[in-house]
Amino acid sequence: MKYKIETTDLNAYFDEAHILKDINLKIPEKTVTSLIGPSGCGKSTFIRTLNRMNDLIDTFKMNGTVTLDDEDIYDSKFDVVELRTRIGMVFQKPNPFPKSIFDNVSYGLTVHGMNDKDRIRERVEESLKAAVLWDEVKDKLDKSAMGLSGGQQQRLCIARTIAVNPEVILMDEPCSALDPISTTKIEDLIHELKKEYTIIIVTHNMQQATRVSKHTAFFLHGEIVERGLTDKLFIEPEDKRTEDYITGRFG
Amino acid sequence: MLKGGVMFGTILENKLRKISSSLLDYSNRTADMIKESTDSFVNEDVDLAMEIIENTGEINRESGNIEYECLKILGLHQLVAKDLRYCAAILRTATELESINALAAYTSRYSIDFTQKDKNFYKPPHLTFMSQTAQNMLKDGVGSLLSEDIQLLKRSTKNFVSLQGFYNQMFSKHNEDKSSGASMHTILVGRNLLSTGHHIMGMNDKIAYSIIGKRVTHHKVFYNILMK
Repeated sequence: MKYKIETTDLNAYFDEAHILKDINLKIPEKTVTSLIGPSGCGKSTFIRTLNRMNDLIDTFKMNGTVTLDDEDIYDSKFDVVELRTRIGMVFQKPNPFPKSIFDNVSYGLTVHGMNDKDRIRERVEESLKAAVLWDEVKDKLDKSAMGLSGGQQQRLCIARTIAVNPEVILMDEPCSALDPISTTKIEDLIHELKKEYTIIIVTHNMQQATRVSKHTAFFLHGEIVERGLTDKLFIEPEDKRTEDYITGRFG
Repeated sequence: MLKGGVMFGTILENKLRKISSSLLDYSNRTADMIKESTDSFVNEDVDLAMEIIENTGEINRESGNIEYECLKILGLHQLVAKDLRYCAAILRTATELESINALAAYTSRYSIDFTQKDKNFYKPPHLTFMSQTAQNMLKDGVGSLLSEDIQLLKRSTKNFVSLQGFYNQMFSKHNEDKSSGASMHTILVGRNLLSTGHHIMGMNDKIAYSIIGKRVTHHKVFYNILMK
C-alpha cells in the first residue's frame, strides 16, 4: 500500500493550547480516510495542517513532519501555492464565489495561469461532469452560482477543487449543511472520486464514515485513540473510548 | 451534542432493555419446553405432549416479535460496535430458540407416537440428564448475553461436552445390547436434545462475539478461546 500523506510526531498549538499531540498517521493513496471525534478534538486543525491553511493564523505553531509523497510540506523550499494546487479543500458550508457557475470552476485555472479559452472550457466541463453536476447546469453556465441549491453548490465547490487537478482532496464535514438526498449525491461522488484522488474527510456522521471510507481515525483531546479499517473500527473497536464515542455514550 | 447524545443513549438503552426482557421470557419458556417435552417422553404423558405441540406456534410467535423489534432498532438507531453486535446476538438467539422449540415439539410427537406403539419401554436416565444439561446451557447462554458475563458463557459451552458425553454413553449402550438397552425411540429423543445443544452453541458463537468483540464462528475455535 502506498501512502500519499504521512505525519510524524505532529504537534500543533494555538498560543499555549496544545491542539494536536504526537499525531502519527499514514494516509493511503486513492482511498477515503475518515477522521471522526467530538467537537474540539483537533480533526479540523489536523486537516488544515495538511495543506498549511493554519499558517494564516498568527498564533499557530507546530512541530513534527508532514510529508506529501515523501516530501516535507513544511520545508522552506516547498512552494505553498503548488501545495494548495496538489491538495484541494472542500468546506463545511458550500462557499461558491458570487460569480457565474462557469467562472467558479474556471477561477482556479486562470489563477494558475491557464489562458487558452478552449482548454479552460474543456476543463470546466470535465470537472462539472466529474462532480456529477454537468447535466444539471450545462444550460445555465453563465447564471449565478448563488442560485443553485445547497447540494448543487457543494458539488460546484468540489468541481472547483478538482478543476486544478489536485492529488488530494480534504473535506471538512462536506455534508453537514445538506439534506439527505444531496448528502447521498455527495457520498456517491466521493465513491467515484476515490478512484482518482486521495480523500480525507472529517465527519460527525458515523454512518457516513462507514459508508464512504475505507480507513478511519478516531481523534480525542488532540490524540489519535484508534485508527484502522473502517469496518473493523465500527464493529469491533479495540479501545473503550472509541466504542463509547461511536455508540453515543461518550461523555 | 452531549445532551443529545445522552438522550439518544437513554432511548436506545430503554429499547434494548425491553427487547432483552422479551428474550429472557422467551428463553425461559423455551427451557420449559425442553424440560416438558423430555418429561412427556420419559413419563409417557401424551396429554402434556399434545399441549406442547399446541403451544409451540404461539410461543414461537415471540421470535418474530423480537426480530421485528430488533430490525426497528437497527433501522432507527443505525447501531455500531457493541450495540450492533448485541442486536445481532439477540436476532441469532431468537432464531435458535425457535429451532429449539421446534425440536421440543418433535420430541413431543415421538412421545405420542411411541407411547401408543410400545408402552413402558426402557428410558435411560441419560435423557433426563441431557434435558437438564440443555436447559442449563440455554439459561447460562442467554444469561451471559444479557449480563455480559463471560463466565456464564464458559459454563454454557463447557456443558456441551457433558451433553455429548451423555448422548455417547446412551448410544453405545444401545449398540451393546439392543434388547435391553435404550430403544431407537430414545436415541431419537437423545438426538433432539443433542441438536438443542448444537443450536445453543450456535447462539453462543454470536454471544461470544457480542461480549468479546472477536469473531468466533467455529465450535472448536470457540471452545479453545473460551476454555483458555
